[in-house]
Amino acid sequence: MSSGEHFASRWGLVLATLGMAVGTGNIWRFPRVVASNGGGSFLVAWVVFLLIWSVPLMVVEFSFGKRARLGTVGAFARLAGKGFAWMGGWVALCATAIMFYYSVVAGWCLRYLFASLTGELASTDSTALWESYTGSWMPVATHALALGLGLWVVLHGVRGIERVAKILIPTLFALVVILAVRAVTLPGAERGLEFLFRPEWSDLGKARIWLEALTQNAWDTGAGWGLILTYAIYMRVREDVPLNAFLIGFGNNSVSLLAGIMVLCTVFALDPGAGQQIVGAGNEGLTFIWMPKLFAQMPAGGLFMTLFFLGLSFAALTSLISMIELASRVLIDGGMARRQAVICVGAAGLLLGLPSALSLDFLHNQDWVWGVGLMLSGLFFAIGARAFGIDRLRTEVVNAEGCDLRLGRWWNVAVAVIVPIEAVVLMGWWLWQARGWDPEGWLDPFRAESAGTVLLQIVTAVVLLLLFNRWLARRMAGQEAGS
Amino acid sequence: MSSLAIGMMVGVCALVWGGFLILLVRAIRHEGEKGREPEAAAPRA
Repeated sequence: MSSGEHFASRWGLVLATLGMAVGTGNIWRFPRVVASNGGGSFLVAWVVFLLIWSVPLMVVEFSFGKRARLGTVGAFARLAGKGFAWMGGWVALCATAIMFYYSVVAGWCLRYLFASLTGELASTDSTALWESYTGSWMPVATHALALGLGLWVVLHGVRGIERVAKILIPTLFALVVILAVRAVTLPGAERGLEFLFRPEWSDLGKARIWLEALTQNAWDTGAGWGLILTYAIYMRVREDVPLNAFLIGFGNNSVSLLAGIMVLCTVFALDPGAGQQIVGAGNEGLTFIWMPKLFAQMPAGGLFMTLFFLGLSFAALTSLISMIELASRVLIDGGMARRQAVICVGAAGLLLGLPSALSLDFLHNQDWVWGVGLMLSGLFFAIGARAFGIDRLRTEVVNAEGCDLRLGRWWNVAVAVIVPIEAVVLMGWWLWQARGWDPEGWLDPFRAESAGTVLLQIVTAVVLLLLFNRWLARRMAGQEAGS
Repeated sequence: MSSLAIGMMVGVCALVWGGFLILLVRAIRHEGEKGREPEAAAPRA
């Protein structure tokens, strides 16, 4: 069953996929992580993993979507074999579980955009505002608003997604460039640049730097989430795969670099004494407490604060839209009409996002669990490609007619060997870290950020998916599954 | 700013932004060569 929907042009596909990749992680996580992990030396490892994790997985996703023309479950069942449908189910489950709390985060961005537009943020203590906001029912309302906006776009199909991406993504790029230029021209901004780019070569011998760089690539490029696969369903027949994958990987990391310059120059120009404290304040602390305080000290700070939260809201909404489309597409493959599927996803998102909207602890738990789960998703894509035949995928889909950049056998090695090793090492390292954070309760499944909670939720989900594998394969990929 | 930090800044920005711009130009050129192709999405494999 082909939906017949497709992107009108290459630029529609590229902008929508960039919108998926560029999210809040680029703006609030990258500057913090690079600042806490050796600056320039981290950047070396970050570029290396762009090439040996993100881009190879993006190519797998693009080729799966283009070949199968089905969502994650159907694509795995059809290309890897019907025994692999549960892996596609895992990828869908992981991205959808993230969607439930990501909608809450997008709601925070909208709330702060409103507060900066009305001047409330400039005239109120940002710590008090954050505490009163997150301690009230308001996050539920902003979660519903963000979800509603995303659903409205997805209801209009892939052309709706394309139209929105064509407006929001160039605007987002322009906003980030304006803010980065403003930050670099602040007196004292060179302290931020020094902090961001000064390399400590000895850091390159530390495993932690490499693992943090891999994690950042895994989380902020969207490679291995299933979202690129979903958009690739709507590629034109003679659309390129490899050049688009490289373009999106480098485009995403370009925005991260701009965001790093913007945030760290602002922090170190306006409050150099508190630089370390600010970048150590966590994602929410940096974005919703410190950035408003810093913007308030800047000439025309209200304007730049509004532009910052406008960019953050655009980044969050375009990523949220891709997650809603992924979940909806799986239901469409299962036989639902688009409207029906989007309404189902919206109802589930509204309901299952409520715990995260009402409790930061719950949101952090979900972020921790599904963040580790994403690495498993990346591993599953590598396994799925191997089951289909990596060289067959490269010759029949990646380097097929219409490709603008031929991939060599290095890609086979990256997908067959390097990506699986990276995924296993990364998952092991994160769980090991959890032991260090909480030696007493690291296996307690009821603690917010323990290895126990990750194992409990992941194992439960995998067992359920395995039990329903046959049903999933039959339902999502029809009788030809496994062919 | 130290010369090491400046060198690193130039290198990383050239690689990431330069890489992005080169890929973008290449995509624009290829798209121009292919021209507008009014085609529908492929049926299922």
